[in-house]
Amino acid sequence: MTKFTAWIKTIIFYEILVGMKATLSHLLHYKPITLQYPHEKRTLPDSYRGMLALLRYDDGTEKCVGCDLCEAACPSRVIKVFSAEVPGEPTKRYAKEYYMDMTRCLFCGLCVDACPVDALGMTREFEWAVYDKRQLRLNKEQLLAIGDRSYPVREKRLEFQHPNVAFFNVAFKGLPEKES
Amino acid sequence: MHPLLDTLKTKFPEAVLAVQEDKQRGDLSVRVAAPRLLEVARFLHDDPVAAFDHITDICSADYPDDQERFEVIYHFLSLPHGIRIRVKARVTEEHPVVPSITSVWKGADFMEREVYDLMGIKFSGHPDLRRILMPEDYDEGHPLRKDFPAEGRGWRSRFDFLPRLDEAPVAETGRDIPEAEKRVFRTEPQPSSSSRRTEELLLNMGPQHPATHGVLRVVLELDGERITKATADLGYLHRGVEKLAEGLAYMQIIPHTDRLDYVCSMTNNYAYVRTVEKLLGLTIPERAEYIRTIVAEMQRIIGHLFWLGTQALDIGAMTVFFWTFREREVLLDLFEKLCGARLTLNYFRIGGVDSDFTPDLVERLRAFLKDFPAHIEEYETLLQTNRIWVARTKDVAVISAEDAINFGLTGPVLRASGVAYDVRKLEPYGAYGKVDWEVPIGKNGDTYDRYWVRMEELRQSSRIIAQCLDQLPEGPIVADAPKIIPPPKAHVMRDMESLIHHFIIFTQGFKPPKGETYCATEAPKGELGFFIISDGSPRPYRMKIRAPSFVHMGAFDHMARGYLISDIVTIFGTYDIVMGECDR
Ligand code: SF4
Ligand code: SF4
Repeated sequence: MTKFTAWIKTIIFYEILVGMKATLSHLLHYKPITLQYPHEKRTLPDSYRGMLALLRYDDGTEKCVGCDLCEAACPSRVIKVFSAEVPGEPTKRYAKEYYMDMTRCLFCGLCVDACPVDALGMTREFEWAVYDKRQLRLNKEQLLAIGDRSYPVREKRLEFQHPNVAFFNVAFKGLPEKES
Repeated sequence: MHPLLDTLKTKFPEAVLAVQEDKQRGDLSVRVAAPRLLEVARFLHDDPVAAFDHITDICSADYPDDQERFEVIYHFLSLPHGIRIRVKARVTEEHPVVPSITSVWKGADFMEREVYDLMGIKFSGHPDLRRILMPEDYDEGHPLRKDFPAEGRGWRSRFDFLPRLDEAPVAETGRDIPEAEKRVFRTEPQPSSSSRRTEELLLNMGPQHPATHGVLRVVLELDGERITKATADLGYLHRGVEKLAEGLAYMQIIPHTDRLDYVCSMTNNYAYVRTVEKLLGLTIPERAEYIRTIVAEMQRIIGHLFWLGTQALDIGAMTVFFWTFREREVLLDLFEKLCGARLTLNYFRIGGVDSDFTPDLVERLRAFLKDFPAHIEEYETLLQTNRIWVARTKDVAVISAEDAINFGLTGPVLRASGVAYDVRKLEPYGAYGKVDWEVPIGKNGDTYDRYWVRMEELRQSSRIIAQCLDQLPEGPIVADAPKIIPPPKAHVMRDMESLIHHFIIFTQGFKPPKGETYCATEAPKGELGFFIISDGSPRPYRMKIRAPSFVHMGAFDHMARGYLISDIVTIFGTYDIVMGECDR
């Protein structure tokens, strides 16, 4: 009997019919999961690791203190920082020039982790295809512009520090207690 | 001392120069005199007290200041006893020759070729010692030697072995390839008694071929429609990750490991950070271990779904591809939520993970697991009994258990041949020892069994994830080791001490103790191992990646011989090969 059913199943292409049934049932419960990019766009999560940007404080000053940590942390030497003293304020430093060669970037986020003042951020921008790849070598103004359009809410700058220390942002809210 | 080391010392008083047991890391290593390596290897393979039947890896290290400059390092695994051993032999720069062990382990063929290619050590008695990853006419030396610069040498046009863009192209049309060049792709001519003239056809496939899963070239020698020899030509995607790692701090290597097996990049992160942690002797918080296990299994599901979709597509079943990618998409969205990227995730950190699982994420993952078994069944209705699928996978690319072990195969490819070797069971790491799961084992060692093993692994993976989610403990997600792990950002912004640690770790990196260690992890493709030699500096002195895809390609010729030319695509696919990992 089992042999007979097996034979019947073979000649009526039983397993193909079962497969067709599975496929066709999807035709009935048609639920598209594809998005018609670029007409439709996905909502990306906040933690999305997209294009890098330099950030500012709410009064418009740059956060970057030119400490070079991002350059040291980057595994593919994307970043080049030329640091200098803030003119007229010899205790403070800033990045006089700041370049990123985005053709080499791995979007790993290590530079963001490394920055001690949270001056770098990863935005949700990803449509950065260009015709000439030299356009992907970004300077400080371009990076700040990306930051301006991607991070409209800026961190508050507080000036209650001793004037003689390098400028760090101590205005971080909700500091966790450090275990002793 | 370990009894095996004693046996070796008494048995080979001259050949064995030194033995060492690293109790803390559980590593055994033996130094042998290079000319007598083969004897020791024979003993290790044949003798029942040793029974090192599985070859894991061969690599090399360069110590330019030593009298005997090069060191060849072999890793073997004994499946009956479940122990690993490291055998080392030193050779001088003037006479860099080691006897080949291809007669003992067939899998040594490709591994020795790699050592020859990258380090310039010759293996006497090797059947086909050619370059494997670098181009055959590459005459700039051997890249892994320490005197070869790790820096790039400038623009493309400055490499004189590459065609220059500003010169007129050399006319090279219609040139017949000389017989001598074709010889490596041909089998040994058989003396035939009949007067019939036979001529084999050489057929080139790839490197740009949609079914080779990356840039892989194979030259097939055909007798009619039967394959008589299949020569794989690797290295089109060689980036020199191992050389690159020698110039990077330990932390900076993690994003580079993402690019090895880019289908499931977290597994590479996992294998790498585990090796570094083993080197450092670092213990990981519970919660981090569970999260690591969960994401590693999610990656396994993604890897197997990817394999199923593409293998079915190669064979001609289109629908499965869309369905598996639909489920893969759900998991990718979860990863995006978790760490901000979809493919190159860079989620693992030395000592823990980057971000925590939120309750929302746990909910979404549970919802996925609830539907997933029904989806697996759906794939099976399309394939399991489908006569085309069965005809094209049953008895295709068969490999026996002995051969599979001898070639050093791992993962589903080995388990389909009936060998119950899974790193997760043999050396449980993460939370694998605390949850209940099984290792599916095949019988026939053909492509159909490999398909079955992978389908079962999908079910087991979702079982593991579900249990881990239930048991997920609370607690920190990174270890507390201020000299190694950067302090939390909030502390850095508040107190000077954390800031100093932060600066030191990011500018100088941490310094692991002097030593070397090998650590294996079960990746979806097989055993992914990292071998790191540390000289006490913040950068690895030598890092070797034991890539399962590369080892599997070593058995390609063996598994492809005798099949029809239409099967070749199935045979590629059966390994679940990813060239990013194979070529490194
Ligand atoms: S994201 Fe990574 S690769 Fe890119 S600039 Fe930052 S550290 Fe460098
Ligand atoms: S780490 Fe931050 S503050 Fe320092 S140079 Fe880089 S961006 Fe500027």
